[in-house]
Amino acid sequence: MKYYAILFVTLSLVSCRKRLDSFLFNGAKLESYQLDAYNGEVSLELNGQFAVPDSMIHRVHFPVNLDGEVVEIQGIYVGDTNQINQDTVILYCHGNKDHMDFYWCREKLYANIGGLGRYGVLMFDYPGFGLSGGLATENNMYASTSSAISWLKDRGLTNDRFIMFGFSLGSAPVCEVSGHASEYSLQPSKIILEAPFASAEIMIQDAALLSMPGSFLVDLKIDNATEIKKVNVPLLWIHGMADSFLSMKSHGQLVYDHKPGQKESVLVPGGEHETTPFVMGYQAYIDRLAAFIQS
Amino acid sequence: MYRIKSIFGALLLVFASCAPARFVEPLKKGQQVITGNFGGPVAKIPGIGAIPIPFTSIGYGRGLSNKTTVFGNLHTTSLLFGIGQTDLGVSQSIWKNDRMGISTQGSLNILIDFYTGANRFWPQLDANYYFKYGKNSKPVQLDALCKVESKHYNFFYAGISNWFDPYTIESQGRPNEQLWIPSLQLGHQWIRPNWSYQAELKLLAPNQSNQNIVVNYPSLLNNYGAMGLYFGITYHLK
Repeated sequence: MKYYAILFVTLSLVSCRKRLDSFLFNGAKLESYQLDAYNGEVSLELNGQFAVPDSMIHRVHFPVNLDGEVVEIQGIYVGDTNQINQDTVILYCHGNKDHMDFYWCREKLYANIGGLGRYGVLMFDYPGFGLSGGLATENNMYASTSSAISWLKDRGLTNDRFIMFGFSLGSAPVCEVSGHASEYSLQPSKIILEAPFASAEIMIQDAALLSMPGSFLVDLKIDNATEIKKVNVPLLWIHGMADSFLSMKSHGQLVYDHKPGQKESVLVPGGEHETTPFVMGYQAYIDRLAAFIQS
Repeated sequence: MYRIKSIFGALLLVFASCAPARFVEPLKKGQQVITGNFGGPVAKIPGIGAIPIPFTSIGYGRGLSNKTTVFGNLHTTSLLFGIGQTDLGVSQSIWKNDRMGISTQGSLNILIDFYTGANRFWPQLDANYYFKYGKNSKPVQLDALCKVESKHYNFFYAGISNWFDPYTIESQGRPNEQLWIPSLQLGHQWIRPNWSYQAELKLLAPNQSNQNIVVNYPSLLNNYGAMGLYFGITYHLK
């Protein structure tokens, strides 16, 4: 009898296999977006610089079908939505933390690249983040990115005026889209990756010290270091050399090395995972982004 | 971004640092025990503080002789992740007298992903010195030929644990730069007739930088290694 009990307990444990994927998606729900009035933790402190007038801020939303369930994805477009058919637009894919209020400071910074309003900027919350519906998963993140791209295309954006920018976790949808051009309605003409991670497996192996297969802990298939091999549009890679979360050597350098064709890098001494723009100097940071986009 | 550091990172270490030293003092011939262990790397959990992650394992040991004990353990926390993890090994007394001894433990850590078939085999070689103390620590000499050892005594131990990673290439063809992962341990055991107890503090991977990786590990060495805290309980079958 006791052997049956042991077998039952073992099978019960195995059958409810736990995964750590959810720990990589640290989305937080909100009751409303506060933007400049938000008083929680934010990605960067701009100290009143790089303000964006309310007239340029547009709350947008678009539907996405997540395994048969249609949910709303929330976004913020800075610029003139009526000019998307003429403007160059940056689609900003944020990192894994909280929601758009946390990253609003970054969107304001990018809205000032080349001067306020020079480029339109669209940021959106992945499913499970902020006010976006659905669950935070890798596939849902890609689906919401696809939905954001379709929203831009429906307003007249074309490939030649489409820039994708991925920060940290956001590097995954950028590599996914630019590496699988035929599966998305637009293909970016240039991509920017700040503090990208190479793959979920490398993240695990770095932390575990052992050469552990990624499947031991996660189902995530994120593998930017492989996806980037298929990307043939120009890349700008930015990484803080003191990044203690996704190290420059293990992650960003690997992605950069695997990228064929045209590419540029900006390595920032003393830059941590979140602080690279601040350490570099905000104006120098956006000037460098402008130089890449305009080159 | 940093919220994942503690929980996720601590779980990552489960496979490399999930148990205390095994059978520091080998069993007597014919002795059989079942064991339970919990504890793991110390992690800073937001809102809670620094705590050991309670990874668990259950095991069995048997004394083949007064110097040699064989053992096997099943890591129950790993099962939650669909990973079958066992460590199978032998503890061998190298030298001992009535009060102290030196032993070595060789084992093989075997991990198999039930879902993908991915597997790993990590050999482990430990060495420990133990020192018994207190009034029952030395055997009672009944006559010229016979002495009786107490079943009620305590001992401290200190030693080194070495994991070896034979996989020289990691993901994306990166060379594996951590083929040897040592840990230093300091522990105490309370040996009792039916139930025995163990507590151990480990300094994990003191030769490895804990900087610029996903996880922040509190460590006595600041930028190197991580701390682990472990507890064990043993039931003496016979």
